[in-house]
Amino acid sequence: MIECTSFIGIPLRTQSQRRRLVLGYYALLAIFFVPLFVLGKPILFTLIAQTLTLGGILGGIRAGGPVKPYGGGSADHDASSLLTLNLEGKRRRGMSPWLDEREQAERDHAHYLAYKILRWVLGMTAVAYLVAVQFSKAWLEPRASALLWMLLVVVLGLPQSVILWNEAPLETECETNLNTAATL
Amino acid sequence: MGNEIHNRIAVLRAERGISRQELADALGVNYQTIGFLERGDYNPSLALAMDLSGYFKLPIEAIFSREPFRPLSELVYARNGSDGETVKESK
Repeated sequence: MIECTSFIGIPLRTQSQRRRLVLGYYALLAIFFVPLFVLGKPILFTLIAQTLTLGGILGGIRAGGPVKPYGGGSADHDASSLLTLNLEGKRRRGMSPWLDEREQAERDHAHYLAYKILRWVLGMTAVAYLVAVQFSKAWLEPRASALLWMLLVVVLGLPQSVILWNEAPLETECETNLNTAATL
Repeated sequence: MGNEIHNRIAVLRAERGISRQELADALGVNYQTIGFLERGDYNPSLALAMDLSGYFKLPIEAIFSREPFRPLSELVYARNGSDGETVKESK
């Protein structure tokens, strides 16, 4: 699932290096979020620009990041059910031109894990917001957009973060040969 | 019985002297996926198993098994043993 062995100069070969990138990503997110939340005057244009930048910086939803793009579109879903019948018996490749079947399974599992995390994140944020609104509505109201922005970026980047966090260390062909020799 | 499937991909690949990258290219998968298959960390779809079977020109049951494979050296030695008996691989 990992596209490259380094990203903006950060090596990504080992799991610990990738985990450091994830931690760095959330630290960057916090650096952007805290002033926005404290000042309470987010500018819409800045929020959109930051969402586009930070939401897709890890890849997944678009090419260019360390995680391969999740999909690539297929005309199969647009066709009617009759047209999608596999009458020729010819095997279809997966839905993604970027990912093989293992990577697609990994992508799906990462989204499931991200959903499980998001259940808590969204739930706790909603409860915290509802409680806070009872005490200081005037203080919270201008900060709501910053909070929503933070949630949006987290939603966009979480599956990629899960993949980067969990992906096993990448093997080079040299290591592969050594492993095969060891297996035999 | 769990979901465990054993395979001989690493042995077959080494026998034929092909790299993971070459096998991956032939099957249209990432070379890391070959590593996952060889280590038993990933069970292939039926389509990929049939592709492997076609690539190695072997029946699927010669590549994949629900039971652990006996080492090839043991099988070969049993076939060429002093008693001349051919021992079938136990399933």
